[in-house]
Amino acid sequence: MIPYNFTFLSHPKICSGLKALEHIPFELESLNARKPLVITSNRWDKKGLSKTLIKALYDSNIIIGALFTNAPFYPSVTIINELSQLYRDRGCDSIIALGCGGVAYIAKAVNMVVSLKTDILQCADITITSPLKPMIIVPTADCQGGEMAAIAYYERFEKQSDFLYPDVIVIDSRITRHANSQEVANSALTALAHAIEACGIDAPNPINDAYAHTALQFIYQYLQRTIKRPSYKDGSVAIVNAAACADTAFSNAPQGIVHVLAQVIALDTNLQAGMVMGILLRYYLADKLHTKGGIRPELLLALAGIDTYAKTPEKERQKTAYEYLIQCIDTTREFVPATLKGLNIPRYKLKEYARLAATKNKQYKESAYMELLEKAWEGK
Amino acid sequence: MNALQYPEIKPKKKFIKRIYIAVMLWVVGRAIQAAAKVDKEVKEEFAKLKDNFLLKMWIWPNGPSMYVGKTKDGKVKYLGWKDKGYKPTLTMTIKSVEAAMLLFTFQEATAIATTRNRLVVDGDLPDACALVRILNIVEVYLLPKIIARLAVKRYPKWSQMNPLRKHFGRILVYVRAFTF
Amino acid sequence: MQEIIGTSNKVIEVDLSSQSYREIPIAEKDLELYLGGKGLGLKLFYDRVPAGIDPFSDENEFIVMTGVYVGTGAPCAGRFAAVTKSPLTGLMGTGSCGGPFGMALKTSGWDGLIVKGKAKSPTYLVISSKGVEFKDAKKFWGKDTQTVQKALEKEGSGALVIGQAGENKVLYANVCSGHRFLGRCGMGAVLGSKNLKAIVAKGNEFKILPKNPKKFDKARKKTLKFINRNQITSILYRQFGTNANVNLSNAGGILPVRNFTGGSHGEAHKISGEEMAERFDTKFSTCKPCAILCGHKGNINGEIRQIPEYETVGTFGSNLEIFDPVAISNFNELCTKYGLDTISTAVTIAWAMEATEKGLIKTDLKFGSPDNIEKTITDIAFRRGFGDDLANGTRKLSQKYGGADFAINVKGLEMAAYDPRGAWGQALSYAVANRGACHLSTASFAVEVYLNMHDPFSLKGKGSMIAFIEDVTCAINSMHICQFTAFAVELEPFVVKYTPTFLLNPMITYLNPIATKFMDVSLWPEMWSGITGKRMGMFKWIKAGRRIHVLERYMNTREGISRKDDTLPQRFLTEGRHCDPQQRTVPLDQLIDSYYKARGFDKNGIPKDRTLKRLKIEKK
Repeated sequence: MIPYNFTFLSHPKICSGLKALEHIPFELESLNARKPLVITSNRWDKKGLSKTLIKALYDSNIIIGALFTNAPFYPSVTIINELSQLYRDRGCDSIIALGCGGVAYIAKAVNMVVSLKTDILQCADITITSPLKPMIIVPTADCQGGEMAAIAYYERFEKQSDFLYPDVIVIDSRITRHANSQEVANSALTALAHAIEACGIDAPNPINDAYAHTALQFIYQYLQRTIKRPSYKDGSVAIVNAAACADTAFSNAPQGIVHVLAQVIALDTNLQAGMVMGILLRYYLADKLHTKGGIRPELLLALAGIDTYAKTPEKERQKTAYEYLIQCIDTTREFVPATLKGLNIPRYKLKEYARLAATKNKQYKESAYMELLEKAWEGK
Repeated sequence: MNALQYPEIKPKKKFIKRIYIAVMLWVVGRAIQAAAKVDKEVKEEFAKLKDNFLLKMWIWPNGPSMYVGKTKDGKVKYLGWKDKGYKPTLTMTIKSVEAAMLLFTFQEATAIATTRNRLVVDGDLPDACALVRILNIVEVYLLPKIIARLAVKRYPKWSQMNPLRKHFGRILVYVRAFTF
Repeated sequence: MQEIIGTSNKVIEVDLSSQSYREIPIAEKDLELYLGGKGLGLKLFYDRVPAGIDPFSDENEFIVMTGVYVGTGAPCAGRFAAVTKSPLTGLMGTGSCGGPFGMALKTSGWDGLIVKGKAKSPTYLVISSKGVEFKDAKKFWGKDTQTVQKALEKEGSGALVIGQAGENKVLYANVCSGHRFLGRCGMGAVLGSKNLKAIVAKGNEFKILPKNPKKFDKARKKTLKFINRNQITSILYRQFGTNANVNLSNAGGILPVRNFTGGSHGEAHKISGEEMAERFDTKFSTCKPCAILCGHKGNINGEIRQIPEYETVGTFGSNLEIFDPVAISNFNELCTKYGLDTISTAVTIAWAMEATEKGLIKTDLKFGSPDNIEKTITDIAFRRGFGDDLANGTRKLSQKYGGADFAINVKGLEMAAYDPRGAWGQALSYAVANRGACHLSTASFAVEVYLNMHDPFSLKGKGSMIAFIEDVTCAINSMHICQFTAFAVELEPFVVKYTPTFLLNPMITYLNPIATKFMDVSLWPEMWSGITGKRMGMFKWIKAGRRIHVLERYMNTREGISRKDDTLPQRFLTEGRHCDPQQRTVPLDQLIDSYYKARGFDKNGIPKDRTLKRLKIEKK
């Protein structure tokens, strides 16, 4: 029986593939915008990605209000206020974020400030009731999670709202092929974790499942090759597409235990959340395997295709799906160890992480967080 | 932050590509006019269209463009690239110069380009389908098989367009398109 | 009085859980490879304590090593080193301290002390040549460091005491030794977690004599000569103390102002050493065998007080935009009383001021105003109200409240009073130093800004220069001798002294790995050799320093440290100083790459197997 009690929203238009960047002027025009503020980081600017973006805007009526190339990793109040002021001074009417991580988070926060016309710290208390200024995100393959979702991260705050989705996501291989193998692995693991946790909720819905399954398919089919050669165009586009789909699935499901723990650990250790998610996911799935209906057999359909799904007896589908997922995670073994111990995270810190996670997200008990952490540390 | 470090940027134009596209649009326009006289199938397609049929194919936002329409006496005519107060009944807007380049360097067929959202069609759907069929035939006439295969959805078999029709029609279309 | 020729090579291990002690001999081989002091302390910790332990657990050990120089009459050799696992950073915490304790421990017949376990109730130790007495410290628990120190004077000639901050496990609590402190890394909290209020050493039981008195004397006299000849040690620091750095830093644009937003200030002269010497009629107040005499005391507000050091003046003064030396002295006195690291306390308060300004938190703290600071320091020491959060340091604060871009710490340890944007070598040093944002890992600011011997904004040669100075500093801290003798020993030899700066600067900048081979640092190994009777050439000594540094790094990588942690707060990577028209920021990535190459680390900052093997460090 297909469930009919659910709500689902996916707002962003995804333009993906060959010459996708050239869609931007038309999309901006259809959003009634002509003067974007472009935000990117030094790294991508040095690799020539901002030049590629500017060339894509040739022969249009677009004027770039400012091209800010020094977006830092951390979305601080200072940088958000400075960029908001720049946006206002130049009379911009939209924002383009070229990159992931800090670039995208800062862009979203700036969008909130200039749209809601308030200080960034007040935004936490405001309920957004109307669309924000047009925002386009052009992701690179170093997704940290949440850039293309209905969530904004700034300072240590997290804000969720349907209006925080970007309007357009432009995935072009000229942009996505410049990350390194570690970053591709992190992005893929983040997308995998989000997709699996979105599928594994108590009340799944078929549309959310569709997004999650698409993410899983992309990852399963392209991850191995892309990790070996991050400049592989199709692969990098696929991984970023997976991240985009997983972010949508993530936005329409409650935050999972793996996501919350990974955020807490990444904050303390400066590790990428994706790496930690990849480790925790392994043991999360192992746990779910022993729970009735823990791993849904439909995941096997998404990963292996209709032939394998049909051939596998019904009772074995859960286990086979689990094996395929572990195989996927194992593709990243070169970059992500199998246990938290492998990351040199001291055991005594686990208790603190469980406590912080329980404070952050009360959906799970501290003991549940601790149990997963212990298993992930020891590797059992 | 020193805002002067981040000035406004006015993106430039792609002159060479625009010239190429303008030339290609002219060639296609003239070829449609020629094919409407030479090829029976094209004639039939145009006969089914309304008398006030006027196609505008253009690159958003600033051109170049191509206007092809039916005159009062039912003839198909290439009307040029300037907008002389025409009221197109079918508009095919190609979203960017790069999208047009993909189309006119035959890296993407028209149908594929439509699927990939590179062009926007404004007007009656049956008219649009007829025009795509016309364009396919014109491209088969204009281009050698090795290139036309990329441009059209399905290259016509012998039974649909025999070599005599194809080669003879090709000569006539070229002569009509580039002379009178 | 009995005599010890060379070193006793004995360390006393105290187990607080079982209230027992035993003697641990030092292997000759370890002494040669790790020199003593910090080096030997690290080696002992490495051999005895596994990776990944909780700093507040019984397993953590607090190790004090005096080094070979202490007690021999070597100049400026009253210091000792301490090693433990830092609760502030979660990494190896090391410290160097003056005051009477080192001498007292050495002359009690012990080269070092290891404290492990946890006492069931507040305890203090009295150490003599006969062993250890475990005494009840309930009467001292809750009392400040000065009161307890005074009370313990009759029990021994030197004591280590923690204040209320240590008792309450403030993560940057320090340990007091006379008028000096084991300031950084929260060692006071480690002792507090062990319920250990104080350690007293009787002292004056042994005379320490060198094995080769002739060799030792020759090197000692030459070192003294250099100290008395060098401008910095004999004039600047001797007359004005470390606050002589205020005017130098201000002129060089590296004085921290307003939580490191600016590099100089028009009112900086009010808190300079020159101003304080005149205003407070300062007199010497130093560690026992000190020849530099940088410590001073003066008449402040009707009391005779220790003049605050440059780090306190920079972080509590210009960094909070307070230019009243009396107010700074008041803060210093409170930190002394409660046993708080002035650098970490002040930088944490600066974070709180800026976070209040930006609306991230609500406090009564404001830049430029000394109001409420004393109350805040007290709240931190007793973990009261918001002081409980402030007591955890800027890293934890920024993880909870935001403001990570202006949480001025590296690896959790707050930064000292030198702005890295004005001296890129210092920036690199801060980023890669083993214990966190440590200015003493290389004191490169002196080379680049004060002495103009290396272009502060050049990328050339920084990696190898920092690596070299780190090696030498590790070796110095293993002697143990005061780091300020480096001004004399490194700058007074003929080549450096008589080569004009316009030649020396480009040589050191562009020919760095070769130029350092011509540095004559042989006086230190000669004195070491004279005392122990073992051969120790200059290059072998520098290699020992390298071994110590790389061992510490390797121990840290076992705790999760890698390239991701060798960074600077975002402020230094994205914002320029107000005083710099070019608004330069630190190009850290390139500096780090050159450093890793010079060190033999892989691109992730982990020592390669080949590097460990060459330095005879056994992987564990």
